[in-house]
Amino acid sequence: MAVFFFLSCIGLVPVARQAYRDYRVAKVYLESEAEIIEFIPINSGYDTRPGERLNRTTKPSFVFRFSTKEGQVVTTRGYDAYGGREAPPADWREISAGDKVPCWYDPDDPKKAVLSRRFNPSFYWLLLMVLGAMTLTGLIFRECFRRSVPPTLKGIEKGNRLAWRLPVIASQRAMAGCLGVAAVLLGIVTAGFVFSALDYEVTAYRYRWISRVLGFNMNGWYVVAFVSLIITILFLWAFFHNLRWVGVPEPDVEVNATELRPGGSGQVYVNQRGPLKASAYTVSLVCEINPIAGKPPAIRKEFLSLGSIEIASAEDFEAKEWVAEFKIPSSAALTCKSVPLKSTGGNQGKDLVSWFIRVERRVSPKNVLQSDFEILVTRDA
Amino acid sequence: MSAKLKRLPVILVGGTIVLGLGLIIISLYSNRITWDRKTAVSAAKYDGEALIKQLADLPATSIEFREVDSGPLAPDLSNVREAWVTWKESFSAGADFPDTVNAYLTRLTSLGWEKLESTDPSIARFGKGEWLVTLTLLSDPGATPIRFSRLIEWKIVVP
Repeated sequence: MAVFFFLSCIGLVPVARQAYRDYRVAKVYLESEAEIIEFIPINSGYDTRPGERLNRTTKPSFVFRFSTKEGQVVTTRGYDAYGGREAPPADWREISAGDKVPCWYDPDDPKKAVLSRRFNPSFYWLLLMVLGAMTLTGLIFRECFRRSVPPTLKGIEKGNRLAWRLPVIASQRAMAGCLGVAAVLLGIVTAGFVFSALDYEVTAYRYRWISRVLGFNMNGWYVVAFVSLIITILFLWAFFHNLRWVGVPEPDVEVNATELRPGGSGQVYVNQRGPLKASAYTVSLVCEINPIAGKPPAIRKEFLSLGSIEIASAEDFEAKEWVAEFKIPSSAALTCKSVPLKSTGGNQGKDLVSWFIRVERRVSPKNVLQSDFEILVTRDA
Repeated sequence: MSAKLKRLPVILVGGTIVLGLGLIIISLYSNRITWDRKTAVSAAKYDGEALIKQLADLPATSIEFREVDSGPLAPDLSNVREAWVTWKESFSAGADFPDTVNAYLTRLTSLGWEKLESTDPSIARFGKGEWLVTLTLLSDPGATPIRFSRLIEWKIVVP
């Protein structure tokens, strides 16, 4: 991670270099008159078929000659401080060989000369990307150096029946909300791809037959937009699928102790309000070690298993409640939320270990609503 | 997993990054040399054409198409810094070869050129910096009109 952080720091170099050059062009460079020798455009593009090349962008570049204040005749090549990137064609299209145009040169190194002193602020958007990469890699880098910290729980409240009420880790509402936001963002991105596809005017050789059959200019953006559309539809389906269960309230789970020792036992109180119709209702103690989506938990002990239940309304008097005992296995791995690169000796290894009280409600033959409530298993409980 | 195996991914990632950075630096260096060579060749062609215009009114008639050549076309490591351009043309002149050479001498010295030593009387050479003009008599000595070739050469090593 240190390497990636270092590499993202290297991204600052071109930005700083450009800023320095912009400053010198604006404040230090001296004016002279240049004679244009040749226009050598820098074309970027790709090969469409053997012997043909599609030029997408043309950056201006002129070979020109000028005299410095000291009388030195200098021949150099260039256009502006950005290598002609994003230079408006109207500024350079009329310049041709033999023309005399103003130029500006660096008195310390006259080979560094420009025909245009324009400032391109959009280049500095690159700084945002660099700083973003530095922040991201820096944060992960810092996390790697952090020593093992005692795990803590957030959002615990005082309980009504038992000592502590546990917060739900990921609720159905939060999941539906995330899926909805993702679907909207993907929809916007897809629309952008579609507009790009419609705006694309160059005929792509690769898609010439499809274009002829479909009757419009098929290009690579349509493929990107199609893939993006499929992903958006998937997210929309997941959103609406989850939306059906948003009305089902999360259970209230309370425990007599949030931190337990291996071999120790605890008490749990579960309060489920309606409306809910479930064919099965289970409460289990779950331990996940380095969790991977789809992988079954390392430990799962059901301590409350009910058949079909139905709660008609959200009224308190209709809520169902249960109290149960559970036991932490004596060989249980301790909770570990951050794995330090440097072993501090206190933990059992380099695994991420989480313990939960998991409430599962089978609301349809194919759908189980799952709510996790974290507890800690520590040595010093 | 042994300690050596654990280090393998680090070595692979580190090696790839170092290799990538190395390739970027080499390609930047190579691009810089290519850029400088193209600039120099472009300026030389411009100056060469200007010189030919300045010599156009000398008493000689072109009898062949002018050949312009430049290179190296596919530079390798041995000649990556070299650049050259040549203009070759044959002429016919009513005056004899020494008079023709004198006409060139007068014109070129006024432009800052100097005559270079030549042991062969049928060859005259003029130089200025990286430029060289060579006149070679092609017809028999004493024959009129005479035929001679003019080779203008420009050659540098890109710094």
